[in-house]
Amino acid sequence: MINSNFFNEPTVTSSLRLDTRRIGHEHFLNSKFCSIDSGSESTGPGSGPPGNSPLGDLVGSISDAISGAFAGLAGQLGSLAGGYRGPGTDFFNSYYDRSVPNGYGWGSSSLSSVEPTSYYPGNQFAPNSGVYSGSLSSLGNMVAMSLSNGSYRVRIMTAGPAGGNYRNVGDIISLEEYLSDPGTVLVAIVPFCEGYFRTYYRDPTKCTFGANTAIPALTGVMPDTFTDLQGNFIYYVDLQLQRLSGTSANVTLWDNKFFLNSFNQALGWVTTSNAYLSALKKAENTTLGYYGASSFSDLITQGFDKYKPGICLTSALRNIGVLVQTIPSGMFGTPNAVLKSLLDNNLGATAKITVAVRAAGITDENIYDPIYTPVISEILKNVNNRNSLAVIQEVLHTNVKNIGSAYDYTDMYLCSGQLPIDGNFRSFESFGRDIYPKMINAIFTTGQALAELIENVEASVTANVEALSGNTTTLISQSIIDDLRSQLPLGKDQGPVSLINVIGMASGYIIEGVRSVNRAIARLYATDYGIQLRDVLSEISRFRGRHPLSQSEINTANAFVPVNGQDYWEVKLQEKKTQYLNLVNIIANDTSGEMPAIVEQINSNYLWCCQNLYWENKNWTKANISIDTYSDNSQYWNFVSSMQYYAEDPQDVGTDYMLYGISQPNTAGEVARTVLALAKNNQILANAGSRITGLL
Amino acid sequence: MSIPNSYKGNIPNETLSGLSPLQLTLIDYMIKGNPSPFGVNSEFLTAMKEFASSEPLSPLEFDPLTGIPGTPNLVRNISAAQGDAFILNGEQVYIIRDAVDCGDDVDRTETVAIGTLTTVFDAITLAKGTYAYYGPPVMSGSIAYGGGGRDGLGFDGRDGPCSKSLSGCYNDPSNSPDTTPDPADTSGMMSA
Repeated sequence: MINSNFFNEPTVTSSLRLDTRRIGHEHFLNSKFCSIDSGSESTGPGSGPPGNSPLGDLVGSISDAISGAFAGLAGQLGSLAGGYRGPGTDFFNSYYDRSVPNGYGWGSSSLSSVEPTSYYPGNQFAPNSGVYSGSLSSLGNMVAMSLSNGSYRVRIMTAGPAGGNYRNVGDIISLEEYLSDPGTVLVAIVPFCEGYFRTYYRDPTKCTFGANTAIPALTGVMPDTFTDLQGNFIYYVDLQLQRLSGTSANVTLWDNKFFLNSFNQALGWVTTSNAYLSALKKAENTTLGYYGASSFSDLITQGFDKYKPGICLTSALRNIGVLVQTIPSGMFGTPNAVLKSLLDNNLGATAKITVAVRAAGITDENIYDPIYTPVISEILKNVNNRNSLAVIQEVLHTNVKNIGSAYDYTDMYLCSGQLPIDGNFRSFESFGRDIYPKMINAIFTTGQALAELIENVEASVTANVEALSGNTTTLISQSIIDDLRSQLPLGKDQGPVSLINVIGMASGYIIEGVRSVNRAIARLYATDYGIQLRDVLSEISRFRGRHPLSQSEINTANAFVPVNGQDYWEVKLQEKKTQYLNLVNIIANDTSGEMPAIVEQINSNYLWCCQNLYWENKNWTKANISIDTYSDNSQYWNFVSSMQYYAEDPQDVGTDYMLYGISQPNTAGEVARTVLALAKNNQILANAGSRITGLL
Repeated sequence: MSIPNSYKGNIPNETLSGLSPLQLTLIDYMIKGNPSPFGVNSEFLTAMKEFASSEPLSPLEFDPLTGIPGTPNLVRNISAAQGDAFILNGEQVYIIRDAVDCGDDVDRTETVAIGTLTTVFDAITLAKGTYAYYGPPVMSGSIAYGGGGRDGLGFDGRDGPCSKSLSGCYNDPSNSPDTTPDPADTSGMMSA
């Protein structure tokens, strides 16, 4: 019979006692109690050998954390009694005397102030050892996860002071923070993510073994080139799946309400963001000159800002009546234009203007020809009869004080009433050349209307605003562009993104990438390197787990003289890790046979998968989407009502691809796919000119 | 105050819905959620499981002498039940399994020696497509077997350890009845 003492509550006299229990998926800790309570799960024949208990690892790692934060507690923690003591537990590794007669080091401790009263009777049993099948990458990832020093998280179960703050029920803090100041609260360990492929208790972003190797896919971690998204690749995939589905491990694989909420929010974010991305790209790739402007003021007022300064120009314009109607000719302000106005307003007979014009050979077709400007000037200067000028002023609706001749209409200074020339233009002619392109279709009747337009144009663009403009290549400064880029979603070529780039993982769009990686890893495994990789990874896990394979190794480990504070297992672990890294380098540099192609196939496809995963994770964070379970049933109805729109996907953001990809191979999923197909077909056929019948 | 007649008699307007019978069917499935029309792409899950997930092999599905998966040619009669996990005691390899003489209603386990490291474990680890993993548990997720088994505990997922009896018939041919209360039943969140 099994030693029932093993399952009894250990005898502990330490004032610090750690009590771990498991309820559901949460492991409860009580800082007041530092013994490891075999309790409901940690050990027992039903639960297998000591190492098969997750608490062996959880508690071990808790001890790791304690070791880091409270080295002084090691002695006390070393006295923890009861429960599982396995050679593979970090707890044991950290705090138990390894030089004990049984060679495995548990069941006895030189650190213990209290001898444990219960431990697994067959204490040589290996911790969590097992034989698995799977790809090389699955082994590599397991090893990488076991090597991670990521921390745990705990949820506050009873309110009270802890971690330097008052903690409310439900707060989640790091285990280190909790252990540094447990206060009076009770906590439970909660996973970072309960995903489809794994449940991640330790911080998976710290799972980086292999990230800086030539073939990161072998350990399933993000390559170190993704500097701000490091850790377990599989975790990030799981995270994305969870973000769309609301998955909770062993509870549900898909929550329809969660999905709808996530889908709608992500779709809203994508649609809105794309407008900004498009505008930003335009602002990034164009200049003020592209729009024919030299400043924001110029651009915003359409160039009318330059007419506003001073009073001479607008005053003059108010006095020249219908003469402004020649602005669309491009010759406004010239004698030619003045003559044109006189003739157009039937003033040819006045002062015999028509006679002079005919004598000079000027016709309606060549009147704007600059060659006639001197002649026309003389003609206008000769129109100086006071009575004739009075008639002209009346007909042209002008009001030029003390007008001496018709030629005065070309002089802005005289037309303004001899006001000082104080604006940006020295003459009507220069003004006319500038305004002409803007006013090709001008319909102003008098100068009064044009003057009012100029005065009404808002041109209050300050120097601060002008300073926002970028250099010669952008409309806005690079710092503003960079700031916006940090807020907007990431995608290929910094262009518009699709729903896939935010929450698309569940659609399976990276299937082919993963398959290609799998096939290439299988090819690699089939080479001479396969067994080497597998063996060295197994060995890493073995030394990490402090698992001896023979009595002679036990003896060797016990007799080992620590090197730089590292015992036999730690030294061997480092050796094996180095061996793995060297082996990967050799493989990556092997130019024989198919090796380069295999490595390339693994790396290029894995990089593609990581790149898309990176975008998704970053974009989700940028969107700041917060999903909660809601009870609004209208979401269901609205979603189904919008199915045609999603299938048509008019903005090409991947709603059709997304929904088709997640439709399940069951009756309900097939109905969903058919609804999508109906709308898609209607769209395609209608665009082709087919008459759609049978619409409801 | 009475409501004037002009405010009475509201008759909602019907509008064209544009909803197809299939959409009406779909909304029903959506609300019921069973079967769920949507879920993670199944082919993608398969590809990712191949990349990421491992499956612990039951000792009894493995020939310990040849390393070939299949029913082993065991020298002892332990084929009546499926094993839960390997355990090692020195160089001796055991499996844990449900105790064969406990009956359906008694939940106990027993260990049975199946060989030595040399004859069993080495042979297993050399089998193609398999490997030994010795480290701390890697918890599996909702659908994957993952390191450590479906429940992350090194099992095949049939039962979690919490459901097991904490006393058993450990290498004891008598396999006496389980009379020890299951501590799992007394678990609380913590004790003072």
